Amino acid sequence: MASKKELVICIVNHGFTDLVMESARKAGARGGTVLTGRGTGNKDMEKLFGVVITPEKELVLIIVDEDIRDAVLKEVNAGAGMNTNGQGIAFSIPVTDVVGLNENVIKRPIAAEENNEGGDNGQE
Amino acid sequence: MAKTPFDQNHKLHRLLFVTVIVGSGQGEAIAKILKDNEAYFCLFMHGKGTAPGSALEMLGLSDNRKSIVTSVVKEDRWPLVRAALESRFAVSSLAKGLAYAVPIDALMGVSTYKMLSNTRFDELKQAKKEMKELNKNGK
Repeated sequence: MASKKELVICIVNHGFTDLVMESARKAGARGGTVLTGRGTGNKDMEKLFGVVITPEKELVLIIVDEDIRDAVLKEVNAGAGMNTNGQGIAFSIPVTDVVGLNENVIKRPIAAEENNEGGDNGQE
Repeated sequence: MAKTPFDQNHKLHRLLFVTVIVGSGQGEAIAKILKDNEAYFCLFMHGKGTAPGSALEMLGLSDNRKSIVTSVVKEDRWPLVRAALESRFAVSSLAKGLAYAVPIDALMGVSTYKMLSNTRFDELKQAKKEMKELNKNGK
């Protein structure tokens, strides 16, 4: 049975998605999707420093197994967290169902082949 | 000495990942609603709506550009955000939109939690206040 999945969402400064993916791959993640957007920080913080910041941000979406979620978040924190130039924040939300991940595509033909072999043996 | 885990001496708030989809140009108003409800950040993205349209769309005159605003808010703030969004969507047909919230399962670390729940900022404000009082007393 396929394991539960989680969607890891990471918001980083523009141009630092490679850092996120590199870190996530270390913990076992495969691929991700990048969206671009415009971020707005905390208004009070802006007042505190006296500058208005509207930086360009990137949002990385990565679907991972639930059992490696914590490891992925930890690696992303180390590689692209608030203490790095990426200044990323990451969190995860549950995913109910997934279609189209590579592992499903590979597993199905193998299972079908095994069934066919079993059928042949039965005929003999 | 071992450090006490953050959740043992702080009350934890459940966080929700909120997505709001509105017509192009409405994003700033939505961001204001979210910020008024203690959202730490808002992220704007642009998209295109695909809902079946009217005669205007057949003539190519409709504007189906959308603004997508994402943010994180505390769960106890969501009813207020929801009410504010509902009243905003009712302003006019141009202000219509939709919103949904998904509970966050895991976070990158304690500092990220502090940021997203505005704990860190409250702590900074408190520290600043205490410093002011100390300076006052010193004088």
